[in-house]
Amino acid sequence: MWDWIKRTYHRWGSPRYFYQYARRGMVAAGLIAGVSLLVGLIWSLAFAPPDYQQGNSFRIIYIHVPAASVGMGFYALIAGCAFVSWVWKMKMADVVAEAAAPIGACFTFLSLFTGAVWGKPTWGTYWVWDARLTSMLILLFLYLGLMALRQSIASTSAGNKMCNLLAMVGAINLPIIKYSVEWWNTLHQPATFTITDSCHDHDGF
Amino acid sequence: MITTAFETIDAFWAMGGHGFYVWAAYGMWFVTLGVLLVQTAVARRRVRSRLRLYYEEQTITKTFMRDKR
Repeated sequence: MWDWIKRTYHRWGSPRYFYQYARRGMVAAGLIAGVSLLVGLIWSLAFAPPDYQQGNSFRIIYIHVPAASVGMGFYALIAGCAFVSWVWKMKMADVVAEAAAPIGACFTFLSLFTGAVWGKPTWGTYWVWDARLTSMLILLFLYLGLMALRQSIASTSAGNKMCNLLAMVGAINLPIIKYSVEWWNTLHQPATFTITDSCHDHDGF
Repeated sequence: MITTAFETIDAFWAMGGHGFYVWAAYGMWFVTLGVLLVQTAVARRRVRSRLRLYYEEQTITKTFMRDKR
């Protein structure tokens, strides 16, 4: 059993086995994602009751919060891959980091955009330069910087190395985003949902 | 019994006066993920065709070298 776990784990790091496993998992993952999205979409738009203060604009939360989580999570993934690639020189780590960048950038952009159109009816403004919004914008620029850097360097190995360095240094932004709402007095509210506690009662929500 | 949050389809589109913001957010969500899907498919096809070309060249070179000998 232990040998099997060890072998499978190591095979994930080898391109040949990785692509075999990934191809098998792709269809199942796509199906689960598609069905979950459809259910979530219908539920959030048509069935969830309106908020007693915000009315129906609060429905944006169902895409705003997951988009922000994915945006930050994918950066953590890229930084982790960068570390693995830097220390153990695993090829798959670079491939994963490269593939994850545009996905993370898209979701970070979505969290900013949905936040802006939610801010207008709720705060009265699309944008403020508060710590949470600004640090999230920096995350988007980090993603764009990573993609531009990789594009601009012809040599793959040198490009990977520089991107890994940028990704690891940029990871300092993640705790800043997370704790920005506690360290600074921001217009953005603190976390409404946490994994350990399903819903806090905030003044604004 | 689960009931919907809206009485009529018009109320659903209006979102209690916040329709513009809600639909802008969800609309951009669709557009962005659509672009991401297309970009992924295009990138995948590009990589595969480049690899196919590479391996074809390898095979041609190998056969050529063998025949020369």
